[in-house]
Amino acid sequence: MPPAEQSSAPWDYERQLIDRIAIREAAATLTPRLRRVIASYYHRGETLEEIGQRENVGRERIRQLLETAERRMRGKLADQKIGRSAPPLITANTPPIGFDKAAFLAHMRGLKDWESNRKAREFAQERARLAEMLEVERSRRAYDEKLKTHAGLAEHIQTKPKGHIPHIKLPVQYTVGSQTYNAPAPTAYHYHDGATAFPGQKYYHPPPLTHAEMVTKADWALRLFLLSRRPTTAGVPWLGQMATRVQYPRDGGQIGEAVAQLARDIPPTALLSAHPFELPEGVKGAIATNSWASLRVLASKDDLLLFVDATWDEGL
Amino acid sequence: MPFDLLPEREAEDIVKLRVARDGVGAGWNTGNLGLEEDQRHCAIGWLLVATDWDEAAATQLALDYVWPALPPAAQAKYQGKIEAIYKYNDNGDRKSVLRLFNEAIRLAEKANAPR
Repeated sequence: MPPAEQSSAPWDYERQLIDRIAIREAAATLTPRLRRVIASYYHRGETLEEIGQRENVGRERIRQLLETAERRMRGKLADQKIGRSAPPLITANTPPIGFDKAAFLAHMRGLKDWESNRKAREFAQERARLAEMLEVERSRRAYDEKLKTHAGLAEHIQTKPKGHIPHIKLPVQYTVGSQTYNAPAPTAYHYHDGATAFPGQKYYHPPPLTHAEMVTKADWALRLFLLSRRPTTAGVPWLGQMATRVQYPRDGGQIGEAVAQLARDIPPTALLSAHPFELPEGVKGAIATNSWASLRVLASKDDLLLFVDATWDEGL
Repeated sequence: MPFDLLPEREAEDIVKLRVARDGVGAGWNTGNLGLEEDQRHCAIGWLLVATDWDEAAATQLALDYVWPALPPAAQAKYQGKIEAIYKYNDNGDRKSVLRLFNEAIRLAEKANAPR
């Protein structure tokens, strides 16, 4: 290697690798015989006579073949000196054959940087996760405190232990003549907020969502809803205007803004009526066969609830 | 460099891991980290206590020593390393968490043994 070609750059091994690839590519364009000759001479270090004996030709013919092979490879390798005195090498200034050397080097450098930054990236992600866990824990603790100080809610917690199932005496039978009938089962009333009440039972409103829960719920609801969407929204004008992002409230003061944002994306009737809003039947059909989705929005000046119930066939 | 010839940071790491392990022995819980005023914490919570609620330092300890000390199955189960430790704490018992910290301390001592 000429001294000028020697480099202490950290990418030198890559350059050599590229040179070898380029030479391989150039050699691949030769005929098998020329390839054999050039490999025997340069790679295995055989003499012209030895190669001639194996190829059943004279020394002079082998020299001619060698020249031909070199000439062709030189053509492929632009102005490179491939010969007895100059070992095969492409300088940094040589336009590479078949691929963009600069782009390749940049790519390799990028890969190395990516790898060397991997730990830092992972650390940042895990630290963010830990911060998130702490935030959730703090907000949950604050929520518990809030519940304890609120008289009605405290009663709610005490009187309705977790997993409590209301005791219903069923069935009530009555007899007319000789016939015995069962009384119709009491109709459960399903409230919009997910609570269920039976006749004769006191209705307890479920505890209000914390800010974190509200954000999480709304976020997941929107994700589920967008996930259940299909491109076939023709004929449903408002679906086409569905936002992919909703500004969730960061604190109480911004809830109004979030509601306004939501109001821009969802029909005003769905918001102002404060009643459950269901997707039109046509949309349900368009989403997927065997799928079902409903969107319920409840918003007021200090509350924002967005429910999406969606089921869909995984196989679709 | 301290008297026991361990580099400052690594020696501190081992001490912090021991604090966390002893904390698990003293008061352990599942399902939440436990906040500053609490007496009981989960594995991650005790790492936070040991690092004086320095989230960065606790994350570093978890990534460097505690996650590598997890059983391979627990490592493979979750993509996030903090998540994996948290779930291992919740799904296991106090004994297994103590074992985890002992293994983490062993790894830290091995990594920082004077050559």
